[in-house]
Amino acid sequence: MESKFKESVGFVSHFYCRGAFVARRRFVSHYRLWRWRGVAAALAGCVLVASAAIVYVGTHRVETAQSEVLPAVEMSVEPVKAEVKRMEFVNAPLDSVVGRIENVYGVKVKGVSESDTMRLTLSYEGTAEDLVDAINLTLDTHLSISR
Amino acid sequence: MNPYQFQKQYEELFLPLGLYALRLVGDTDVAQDVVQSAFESAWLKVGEIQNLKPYMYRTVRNAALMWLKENDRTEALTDDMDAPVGDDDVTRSERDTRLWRAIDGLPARCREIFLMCKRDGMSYAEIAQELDISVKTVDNQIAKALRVLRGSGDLKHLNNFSVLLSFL
Repeated sequence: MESKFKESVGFVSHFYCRGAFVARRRFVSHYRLWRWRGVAAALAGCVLVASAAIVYVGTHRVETAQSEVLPAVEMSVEPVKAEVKRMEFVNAPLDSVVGRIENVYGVKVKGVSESDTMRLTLSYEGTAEDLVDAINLTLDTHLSISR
Repeated sequence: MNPYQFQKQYEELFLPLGLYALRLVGDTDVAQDVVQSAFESAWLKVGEIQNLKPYMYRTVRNAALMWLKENDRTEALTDDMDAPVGDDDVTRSERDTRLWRAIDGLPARCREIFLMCKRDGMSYAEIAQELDISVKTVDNQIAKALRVLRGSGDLKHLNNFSVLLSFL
């Protein structure tokens, strides 16, 4: 063992040249190596963004369901008569309800005050007059329709 | 074998194969050319090669023997060169590789002194005079180099003092 070591030391020392026997050839070009890494990084980035988007959308839906301010949802169906509509309000402010009735039925609603802070939750199908009557009964308001 | 595995093994095997070829042809530049040519031809068959290491040792050996014959270096040919590449050849080239890398890793001054002694055959006194340092410093640097070289090899159990004496 000692003789082999001495022999190798002698051989290597005799021929040693700093910088010799360095593998300089790139059989796989830097471009291809970096392209592969780039593809992998882009893929990882897409997965990350998609995951973040899924988490955000899921969180946003939960927050929307818990929100105090909900827009009035109109669900119009094929009317039996032209003036019969179906409307649904979920915790909607009164002024928003009035605005929706005016837009959907094409009428003018009177009797609403700017100081009204009441909210309405109601699912209704009928004419504007009947809807306003239902609101008056529910909220003890004095709304009326003028065409 | 895929191209990336080939590239990795090329970088790992170049030095041991180079030192193996160097023992056959006795010239650093020729050995480098032989090994590089062997890898170039292996690259053309990268998909067909399962185990690159034994393939490359065989290829380098054949290329080195071809070079010796083509350059009328038949005196360098020995009877055992017709034999296939043995485990001893591979083990020796790997030992040479560890020593080469150990010398590469020596501090510059230590490496210079060591090579002046082992490669150039200068005595301690001649080295000390050449570099304007004390003989004791030369002695210390040589001992340090040998400790590093032994640490890289397979003879860690040997007594450093007895080895140092054998080099004096």
